[in-house]
Amino acid sequence: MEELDRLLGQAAKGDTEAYGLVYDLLFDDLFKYINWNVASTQDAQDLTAEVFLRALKALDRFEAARSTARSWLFTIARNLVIDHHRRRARRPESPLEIESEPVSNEHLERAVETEAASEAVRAALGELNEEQRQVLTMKFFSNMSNAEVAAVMGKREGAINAMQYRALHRMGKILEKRGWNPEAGD
Amino acid sequence: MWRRRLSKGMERIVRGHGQPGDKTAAHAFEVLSGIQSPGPDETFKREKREAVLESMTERLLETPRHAHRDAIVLKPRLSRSAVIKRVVLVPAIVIALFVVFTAGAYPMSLDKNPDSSLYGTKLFFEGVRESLTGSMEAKAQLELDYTQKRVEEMQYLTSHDIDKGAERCASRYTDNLAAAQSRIDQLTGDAFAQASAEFLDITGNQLATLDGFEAHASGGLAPAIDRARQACNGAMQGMMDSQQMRMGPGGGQNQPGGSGGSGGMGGQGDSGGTGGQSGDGMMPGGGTQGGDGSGGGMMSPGTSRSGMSDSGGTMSGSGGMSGSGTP
Repeated sequence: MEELDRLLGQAAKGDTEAYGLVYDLLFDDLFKYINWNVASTQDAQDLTAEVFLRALKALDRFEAARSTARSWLFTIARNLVIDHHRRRARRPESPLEIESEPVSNEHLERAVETEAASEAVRAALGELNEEQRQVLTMKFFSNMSNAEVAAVMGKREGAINAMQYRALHRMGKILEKRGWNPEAGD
Repeated sequence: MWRRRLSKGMERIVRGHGQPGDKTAAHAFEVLSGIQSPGPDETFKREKREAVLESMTERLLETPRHAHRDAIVLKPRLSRSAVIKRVVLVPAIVIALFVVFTAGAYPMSLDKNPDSSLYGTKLFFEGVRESLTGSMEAKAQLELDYTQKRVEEMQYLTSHDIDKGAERCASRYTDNLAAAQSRIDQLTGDAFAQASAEFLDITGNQLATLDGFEAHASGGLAPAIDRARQACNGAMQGMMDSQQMRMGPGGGQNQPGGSGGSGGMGGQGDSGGTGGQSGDGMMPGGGTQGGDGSGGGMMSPGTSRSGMSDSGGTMSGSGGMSGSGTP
């Protein structure tokens, strides 16, 4: 059993310190996943915190034998993201439209390698369907394995592999259309 | 970095590895790998951590019952596309498959005999067709056609000496006869007169045919054919009673000048019949009551049933369906 699973198991028994460690270990990965799936950083932060509050309510139902702590918490995150899109003006297929939100977070600015690349990726992700977008963001930004992604999405690992390939291909096409040509070495 | 993230199979696809590979996917991969995803605001994260742990402590103080009530069911939520897939696509595929299989099964089952495993399908589609038929007259005609099919099926079984499915066939024959009779009973006026006459004509021929089969039938086939014979006899009797009740003695449906053929229903039978089906009815020169077995009753002039055997049954014997009047 992984360390995370063990910690969440302890948290389920009422160990707040263990839950604090789970929070420390997973908050960033969850935030990154959510951040690439919603339009605003503020929403992403709020939703990430909400994941841990929601998880608290279901903590006594966590079974390490049936799922890993990581996939369990990402399932909650995914459900929250879907709920978030449903609430927000019924825009499920293009939730990543870039809002004219002032970039006030200096940390965020520093973290992005180039603003242009980040924007291009965000826009391209926005053109993918919801499942493809979620698979790519979990794999590339949250260090999830195919098995974990499969558990979160409720699909087989092979299906996730295929979905990932289709998503990458489609994203490549979108990027090419937008001028990010591989031959040009963008 | 990408090597760590992609499985070997995926790596081969997107990168090539001596094979053409998918440059488009590989390019997207390079771009995504190069992105430094921004992290959360550290202050926010810290503050929320406190809040979450505080909430946990509060929850621990609450009753387990309350905690259980709030527990969420952790099941992957369906995305919009998944919902569309389940609600629209899956039923559409199921319906399409049903239509394809049904469309294939129908023509395949059409010429099946009672010994075939598709015979049930054939009977099913007959039922469907009957229920889709609009008018009562057409329904009656269809059921009559089915009775004829059943007789042909029994002919097949007899000639091939097969008794598999014979009981089922006979039973269906009985049902078809009863259904035809019931549909005809619901008709009125000329429609009834015409349909009932046709019913008697067809079933009369069928009875003769079945008599012929019975002589050759063996094993499980014989009881089935006997059962069909009895059903046919009974149905004819019932139809004649019905005619008499609705159109008076003699039925009046005798054709003008209906001198009929000889023999009547059951021909030279010896086992006694119900007699007295004929009469002067509504036709000029109507027939006589009773008589000696001659006459055509519902038959057109010359369409004698004299070929039918006399092997018992309620229709045979003296009297019969006479109608010897002349216009």
